[in-house]
Amino acid sequence: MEPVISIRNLNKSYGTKHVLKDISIDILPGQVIGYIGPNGAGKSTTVKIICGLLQDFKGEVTVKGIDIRKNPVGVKSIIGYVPELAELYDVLSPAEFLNLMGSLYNMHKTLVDERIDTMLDAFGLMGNKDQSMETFSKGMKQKILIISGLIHNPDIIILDEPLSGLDANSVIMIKELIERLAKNGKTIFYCSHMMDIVEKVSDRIILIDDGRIIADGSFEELKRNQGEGASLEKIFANLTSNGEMHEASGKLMQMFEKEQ
Amino acid sequence: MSILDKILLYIALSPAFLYRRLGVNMSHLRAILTAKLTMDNRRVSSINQKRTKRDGSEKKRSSAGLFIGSFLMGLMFLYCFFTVSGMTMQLTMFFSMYIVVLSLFLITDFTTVLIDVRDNQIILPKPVNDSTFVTARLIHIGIRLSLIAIPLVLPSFIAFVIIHPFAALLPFLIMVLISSVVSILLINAVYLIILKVTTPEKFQSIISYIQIAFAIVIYGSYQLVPRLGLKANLGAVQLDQLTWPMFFPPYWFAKSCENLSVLNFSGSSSLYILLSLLSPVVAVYLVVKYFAPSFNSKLGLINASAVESSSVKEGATKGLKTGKKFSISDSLAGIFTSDGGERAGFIFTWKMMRRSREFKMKVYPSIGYTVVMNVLFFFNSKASFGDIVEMTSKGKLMTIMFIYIFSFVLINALNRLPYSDKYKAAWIFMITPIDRPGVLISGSVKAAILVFYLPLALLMVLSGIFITGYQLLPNIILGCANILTISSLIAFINLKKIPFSESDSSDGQGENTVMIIFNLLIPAALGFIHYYIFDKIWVILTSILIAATISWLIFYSIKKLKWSEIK
Repeated sequence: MEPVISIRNLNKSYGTKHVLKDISIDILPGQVIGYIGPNGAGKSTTVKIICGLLQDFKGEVTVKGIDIRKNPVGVKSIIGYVPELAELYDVLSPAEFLNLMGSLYNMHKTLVDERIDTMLDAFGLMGNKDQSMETFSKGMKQKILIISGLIHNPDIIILDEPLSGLDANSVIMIKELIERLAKNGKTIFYCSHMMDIVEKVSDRIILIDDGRIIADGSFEELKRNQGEGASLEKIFANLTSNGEMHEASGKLMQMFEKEQ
Repeated sequence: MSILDKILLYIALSPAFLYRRLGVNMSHLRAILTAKLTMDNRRVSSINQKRTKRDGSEKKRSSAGLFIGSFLMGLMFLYCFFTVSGMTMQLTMFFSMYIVVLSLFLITDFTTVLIDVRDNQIILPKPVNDSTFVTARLIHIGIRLSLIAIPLVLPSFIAFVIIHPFAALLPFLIMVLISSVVSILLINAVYLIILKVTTPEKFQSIISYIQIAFAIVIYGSYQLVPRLGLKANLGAVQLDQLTWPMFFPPYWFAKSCENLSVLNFSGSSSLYILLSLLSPVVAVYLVVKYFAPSFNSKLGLINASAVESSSVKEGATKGLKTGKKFSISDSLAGIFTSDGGERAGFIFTWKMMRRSREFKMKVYPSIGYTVVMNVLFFFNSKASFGDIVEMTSKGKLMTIMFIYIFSFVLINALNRLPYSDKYKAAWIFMITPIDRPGVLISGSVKAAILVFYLPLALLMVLSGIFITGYQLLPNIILGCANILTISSLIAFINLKKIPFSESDSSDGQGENTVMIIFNLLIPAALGFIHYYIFDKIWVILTSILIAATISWLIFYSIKKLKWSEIK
């Protein structure tokens, strides 16, 4: 099968800081990729490059056969991106904001209106359709963000910590939605620090640390390499920290104990 | 903290034993006040709208700026001491002006001090006792007040020392103190009344409108008062022979000041002294008794509406008027923009301009300024409507002035378009497939023109027809076409940014000054040329065509802007 996202020898530096080191990934349609790694590992940088937001990288990135450097606009129109904790123009109402997104995705107004109604209804926000988002809770804003990433029915969906602030019911709904979207052939790129959820939703997990891929495979495969019965959290810790966090928490406790 | 703040803080904290007796924790008090004063310096006050920069050197300007700003205002009070004679008259005028100006300063500056939402989250959960908290708030208010009141009174104080006997000095200072207290209580009452008549949600916007009005009033009074004053013969007024001043607190303060200085305690004079001393007491009583009980809970509501957003219920009443099928912005967008990105930019900008409090605060005052400028010009030129009708040189000049001065509102609005405190939300323009960002900008510029110039243009066309028939029409249309050209040119040069995508503080100051001069020079130059071709109808008609073509071309180039040309 033709990969939907193909990354070859991707390198990216900010000044002297080498953030991504020779990353190569092929992602097939319908895959749900759990993209994980410690803080500052280079996750958001990868995502920004795939979305066409960063242009000055070395290597080759194609999305559905489109070279991202040559035609970023073409790539943007088939990607739905839900950024983490993003700001919204909250003096607008959900209907107005989503209409804006719709027209930026070059959608027809009647289609946008139809989808806004269906999606707001699904997320239980129909009653807030015409209210200013200034008074919205974190969870409500997050739902609007998710809708804005899906409204143009993209082939590739990039979710960055999409569940933050959502209540348990919405979490269940999103998880189900991810599964069904993948079944329909959508490719999902899921970045998160919540290991238990990544473990459940993704059929392929890519772990990066310090700009390099250090593990790539299904959860089952990772378990096979790391010892049966381990959780993703354990695997993550084994591969990225060498037990440093135990040491750190020990040091913190020592500090308090000394004072007593 | 600036040196001024440090000095005032040192003075305020020096009677430590007194605070300790009240149960105040001194280290808490010092920590809270230091943090508060530091934050004040990083805030932009309504008077000192100069942007503070990140590099520290300008951070310190805020309280110094406030100080200088109120000192300049204080210079205006000198007017009282040099245009009228007699201490009572001088001081009545002084105290009236002082109370008005101080109250206005306070109402614009104190919103954030009195209603600091963050206190509830940051200070209250910590082990800080109530008296420390209250004392910190009072001292904070006191320091802010001194920063305004001292420079405000300083010029008058010096004038007073020079003009009046030394014995009057102490009563003068006491009365200044009393009137300051009265002003604070006045502001409290105003806040409370606003809270009584309106919902807490609207409170912030009402305060911003008061701030806008204040900016205009100050500008207007700077320009107009001295001129009008020269005409009125205030020196001849004898207050003592009138009865209405008796009910007017500034008159009491002035009277008591005069009587105390000569130790006159006769019947009427002791009455005024008594009234002066009682006025703050009565004001405190009124505020505490009638307003305060609901104050805290209402203030709580203001905070709640800003912070506790989870309380939004389904179908809550606070809806925007967007549910209806017909909207002005949509239909105007249909007429003036082409489909796609341009329309999106238009509707987006239209809504942001009309809803963002920050944008209104920066742009609406300029409407007032231009009106003041025009009124001023009208008075100075001594032109009449007859001049305009007959198209004398004075009348022509007037017409030109009216047409071109109003363009400053639009120019100001255009230059504000890239800025927003929600600049981070502009990510949506980065992730969506926008081929040419220029279309967004052109839509956005069109929205600004429609909101900030079209109504004025229509008004001018209609009043032109009303006053002179069709005679002035070609000239008015040329003026409007020229302004269209100017504004599109300014947009083309200046607006290589996505609307509302930039934080205010990242703007270069030097570049700005050049732009302001440039912005003023172009309309002035075009107005100048226009004046000389005023009567040549064919030249006018040709110029209209030329201006319209140029604007069309500029808009065409704006639409063609590529991502690589966006800053």
